[in-house]
Amino acid sequence: MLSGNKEEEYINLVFERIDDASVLSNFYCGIDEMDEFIHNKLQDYLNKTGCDTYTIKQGDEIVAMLSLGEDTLSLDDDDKDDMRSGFVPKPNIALDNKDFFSEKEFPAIEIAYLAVKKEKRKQGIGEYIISQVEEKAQRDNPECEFLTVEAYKTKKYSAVGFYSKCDFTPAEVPLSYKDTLRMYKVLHPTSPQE
Amino acid sequence: MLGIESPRKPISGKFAKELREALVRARTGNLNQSEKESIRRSEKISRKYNAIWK
Repeated sequence: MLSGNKEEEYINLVFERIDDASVLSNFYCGIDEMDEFIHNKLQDYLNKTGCDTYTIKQGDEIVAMLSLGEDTLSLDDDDKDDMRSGFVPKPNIALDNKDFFSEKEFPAIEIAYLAVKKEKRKQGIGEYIISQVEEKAQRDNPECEFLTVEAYKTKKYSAVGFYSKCDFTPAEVPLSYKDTLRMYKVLHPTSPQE
Repeated sequence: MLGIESPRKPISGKFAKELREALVRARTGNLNQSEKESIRRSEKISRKYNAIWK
């Protein structure tokens, strides 16, 4: 399916759904833990979860891999009481809207895995993939209002900066026992008002 | 990669407040500068690449 109709000066990136992880046997993103997962555990993950997983090709070269799953963002039931009591500062907007507090679970699409080939970083491919995931989520799951990710975060490597650059927001304080940070991005169904 | 296996707790405190505020901004189109800039950046990078979903 074509999602765009652009002239030839654009670089085509082909998103192709895969069920067989062996197509990634020559793909390396340069992050040891991620490469180890792709080559030794991805097939089992595909078999168990059924998450939509894609290779992203530029010509014949796989430049990235992406895996998407369904997710739910849940808000603590106490947060509204905390805001009303002033324990947490009250929201600046929409406080009078009763719907503002009534919703506490939101469907989301999770970026379960995203890896860009080491030699292809710093070219905007990762950011472009995120923008395409946003479009796909809004197209295929119009009820979905969030993207989520458990951004990899260790002493050796952190993806938190990349996702922050893509306008993801932390959903928790960094936890010492986790090697990821849960983040979210709100999908924008409307154009920004100037 | 442990991300997808990480325990998920409900979002609370200031994080929940920020999320609700961001959601209202998105629903009303009344985005802040950072969100507008993010959209502009996405539009800019979209002038370089073309996605083909198969």
